[in-house]
Amino acid sequence: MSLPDWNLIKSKLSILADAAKYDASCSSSGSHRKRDAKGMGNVEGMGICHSYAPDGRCISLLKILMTNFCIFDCKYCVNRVSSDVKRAKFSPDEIVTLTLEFYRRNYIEGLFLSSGIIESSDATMEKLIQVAKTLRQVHRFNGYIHLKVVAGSSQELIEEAGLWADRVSANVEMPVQKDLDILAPAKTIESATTSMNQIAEKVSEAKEEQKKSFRFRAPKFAPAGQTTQMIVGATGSTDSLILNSSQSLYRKYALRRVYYSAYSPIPHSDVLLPTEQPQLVRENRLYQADWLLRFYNFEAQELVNDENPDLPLDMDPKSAWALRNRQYFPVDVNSAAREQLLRVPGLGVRNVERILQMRPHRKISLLDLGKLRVPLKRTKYFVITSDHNPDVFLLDSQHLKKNIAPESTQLSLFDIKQTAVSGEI
Amino acid sequence: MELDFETWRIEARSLLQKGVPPHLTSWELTQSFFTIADSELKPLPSPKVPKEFMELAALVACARDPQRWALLYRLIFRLNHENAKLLNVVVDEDVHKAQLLAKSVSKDIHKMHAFVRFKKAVIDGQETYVAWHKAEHYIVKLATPFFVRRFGDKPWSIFTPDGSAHWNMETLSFSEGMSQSDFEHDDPFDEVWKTYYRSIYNPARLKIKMMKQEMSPKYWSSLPEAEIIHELIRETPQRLQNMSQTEKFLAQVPDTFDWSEVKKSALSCNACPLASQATQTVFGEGNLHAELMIVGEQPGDEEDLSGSAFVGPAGQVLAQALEKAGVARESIYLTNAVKHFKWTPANASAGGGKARIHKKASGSEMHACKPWLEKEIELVKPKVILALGATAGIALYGRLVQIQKERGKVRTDSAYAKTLLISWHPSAILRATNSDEASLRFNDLVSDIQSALAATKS
Ligand code: SF4
Repeated sequence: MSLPDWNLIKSKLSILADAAKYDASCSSSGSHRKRDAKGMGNVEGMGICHSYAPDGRCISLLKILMTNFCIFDCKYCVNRVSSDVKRAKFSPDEIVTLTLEFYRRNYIEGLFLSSGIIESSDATMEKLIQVAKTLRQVHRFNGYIHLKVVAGSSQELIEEAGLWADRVSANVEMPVQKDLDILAPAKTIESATTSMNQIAEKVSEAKEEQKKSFRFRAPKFAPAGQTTQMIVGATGSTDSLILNSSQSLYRKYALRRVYYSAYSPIPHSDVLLPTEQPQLVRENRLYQADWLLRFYNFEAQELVNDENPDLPLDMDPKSAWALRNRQYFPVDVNSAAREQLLRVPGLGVRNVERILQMRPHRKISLLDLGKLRVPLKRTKYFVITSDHNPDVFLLDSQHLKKNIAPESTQLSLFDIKQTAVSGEI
Repeated sequence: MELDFETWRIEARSLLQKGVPPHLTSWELTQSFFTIADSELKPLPSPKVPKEFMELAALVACARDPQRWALLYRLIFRLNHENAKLLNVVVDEDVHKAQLLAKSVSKDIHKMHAFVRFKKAVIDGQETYVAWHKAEHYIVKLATPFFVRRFGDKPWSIFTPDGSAHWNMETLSFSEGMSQSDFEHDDPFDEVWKTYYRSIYNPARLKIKMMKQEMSPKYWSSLPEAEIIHELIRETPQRLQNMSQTEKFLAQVPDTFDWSEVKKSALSCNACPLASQATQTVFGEGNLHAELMIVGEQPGDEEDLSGSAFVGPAGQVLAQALEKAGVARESIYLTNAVKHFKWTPANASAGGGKARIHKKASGSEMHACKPWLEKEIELVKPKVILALGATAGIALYGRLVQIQKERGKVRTDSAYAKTLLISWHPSAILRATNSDEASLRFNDLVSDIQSALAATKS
C-alpha cells in the first residue's frame, strides 16, 4: 500500500467524523476476542473509554461515516440530500488504515462504521462489509467492530456483516411511524425492524450452534448483539410512546440497548426542527426509565400512562412512581424480597445485592445504608431499618414530593447523567 | 525501599501463625516487627486465607497509601479470629476502607489501559511503540499485561515515574521509572487524532464537568488531544451561534381552502432569498379538480417573465408529450416544486450578454417552498401525481430518485396521492447529448404520462 496523504485524510476525517457524531452509541462492550498470533487487537468484555470529548461523551471507537453523500432526505439528518453541507467519501482502504493506526496507538477500542446511502442500500452495505472483512482477514485485526445496517439492506448482507462485526445494528430513528412520515418520508419503522429481526434470529442461531459444538467453535455472529437508536425531541412524541416502543423492541428483538439521542440542532437544519439546545434532562430521564425496564422489572405502563404521558423532569422516574404508589411502602430492608427492594427510590441493583449479602450477618441500619452511599434524604421515607421506622404520616403527606426532590438546583444535570450511565437509581 | 506484596504475604503468614494481634505489629519499615513475648500469643497453625481476600489484597497492595499493609493484616487477622465471612459486611470500617482502596486501584488500572498513548518510534531499525504515563498508584506490574494481550505483535515500552514496562515480543520486563521531561518522542500522527477529537465533539452538548470527572486533568499531560480542549471550549459559543444563525426559511401559507386566495398570497411570498431575484411568483395552474397533477422543478427564464408555468422551451416539450399521450392540458393541474426562478448572470465577456443562467434551488430553498406545493395538493386532491425531474422527486419521494431506474415504477404508499410516479423533466430531454437519447427520453415521458392517465382511471 502506498503511503496515504495524511492531509487529505485529515480533511475527510473532519467531515466524516463530524457527520457521525449525532449517533449516540459508543459502547464497545459485550464481546470477547483473543488476539490473533499474527495481528493486533482483542476484546475483553468490558469496553474502554479511551477519551472524553468536552461534551462529556466517551470516545471508545473511531466513529465515522464512510460517506456523507446520501440519496435520502431525512430532515433530522445533517447528511440529507437537500442539506448544503460539505461532502466527502473515504475509500475502504483509507478506513482500514485509519483504524489500524488509531488502534495501534491505543486511541480506540475499534471501529464504528456507518454511512450515507449512495447508489443503493446494498451497494453501500457491501462497502462497509468490505472494510470489516479486510480488517479481520488481511490484517488479522481482532479489535471491536460495530457496523451499522444501511436502511433497506438485504438479509444476505446483514448475515455477512455479522460474521465480521462484533455488533450489527439498525436504527429505528423515530419512536413511531407518524414521526418518520413527517421527517423521513422514504423510511419505514418496518424496514428497520425487519433488519432487527434478521439480526436477532442470526444471533440466537449462532449461540445455539456454539452450544452444540463444544470442540469446533462455530463462527460467531455479532457476539455483542444489537442496539438501536431513537432521536427524541425532534417531534412532539411523548415519553409514553417512546418507552412503549422501546419495551416492545426489547421484547421482540433481544436488543442490548436502546440509545436515546436528544435531537441536537444541526447546521443547515430543516425548518421543521427545533433550534433550541437538546433536551438533555429529558434524554437522561429516558435512560433512567430504560434501566427500570431492563433491570428493575418495571413495565413501561407503570412509568408513563395516559394521565402522565411524559416522565417528570424534576425527579427520577422511580421516585415519581413511588409517589404515585405510596401504598407499597415502607419496605423493610431487613426482610423484604429482592423485587421489593428494587422498587425503593435510591436503592440501585448493586446496593440491593450488597444488602442481601449482608443480611445474614448483620441487622442493617440507616447508617449502614449511608455507608453504601444510598441517598438517605430520599430513601429514608420509604424504608424500615433496624433503627428507623418512617413516619407514616410523612409518607402520606402532600409535602413528600418536596422533601425527596427539593430545589431543582440539587438535581444538577450532572447527577442525573451519572445515574443514567450507571443505572443506579 | 517499599514493601512488596510477596514480602507482606510471607510476613503476614508467619505473624498469623504465631497469633500476633494487629495492634502489636508495625509495617512502617520494609518488614513488619512486633514486640511481645511469645508466651502471651495464641498461635494459629494453619491460618485461612479466602480467595476473595487474596483478590482484594492484591489490589490494595498497589495503593499509594502507607496504611495499606497494616489494614491488610488487620483484615486477615479478623477473618481468622472474628468472622470468616467478614468481607460480606461491606459496611465494616476495615472492609469498607479496603474496598475503597481496591476500587481506586482498579480504576487507576482501567484508566491506564485507556489513556496510554503510544508513539511510533524506530529504535535500532525496529518499529517500536513507546508511551509515557503517570498512574496514581503502583500499578505498572498489574496493568501492563493487558498491553501484551492486545499489542503483542510489536515491541513496546511504557514508562511511568514509578517504574517502566518493556515488551520485546517474548517477555515482559520491568525497569526503573522515568520522569516526563526525560521522555522525548514525537509522533506526527497525533495531529490526525486531534482532528478526530475536534470533529467528534458536539458543541451543542458541552459538559466540561462530566468530561473532567471521567478524564481527570491529572492525566492530561500525556494525552495529545488534551492540548486542544481549552481551544474547543473557547470556540463553543461561536460555533453554536453560527449554527443557529444559518438562515432558515419557510413559506407562510394562509389557512384557507380558496385556491385564488392561496395563489394571491403566494404571489407576495418572500420567504426565501429567491423572491428578491425573480420577477414574480409562478404558481401552479390548471383544472382545480384534476385527477392528475404534474409537478415540475422550478420556473425558468420565460416562465419568470410571463408568470405562467411551463411556457418556455421545456414547456413546449411537455406540451408535445401531453398531446402525444392524449392528455388535454386543460384537464390536468400543472405546477412546480419551487415557485421562483433562480439564476446567475451569464459571463458577459464570453458573449453571454444579459442572459440569465438557470440555477438549481438549494436544499433550504426547496424546503422553504414546499408548503405551497403541499397546499396545492391538499386543494386539488389529485388521484395521481407525476413528478418530473430530481427536484420534484426529492419533494415528493423524500429522497434522491434515480429517474433512469425508477421511472415506470408506480408508488402506491405515498402520503400525497394514491399513485405517485416519476419521469424525466422535459429540460432533461432538451439537454440530452444526442438525438437518440433525446427521443428515448421523450418516448419515456410520453409513456409515463400514459401510465399516469391510466392510473387515474383505475
Ligand atoms: S421560492 Fe417559494 S418560498 Fe421562496 S420566496 Fe418564492 S415562493 Fe416563497
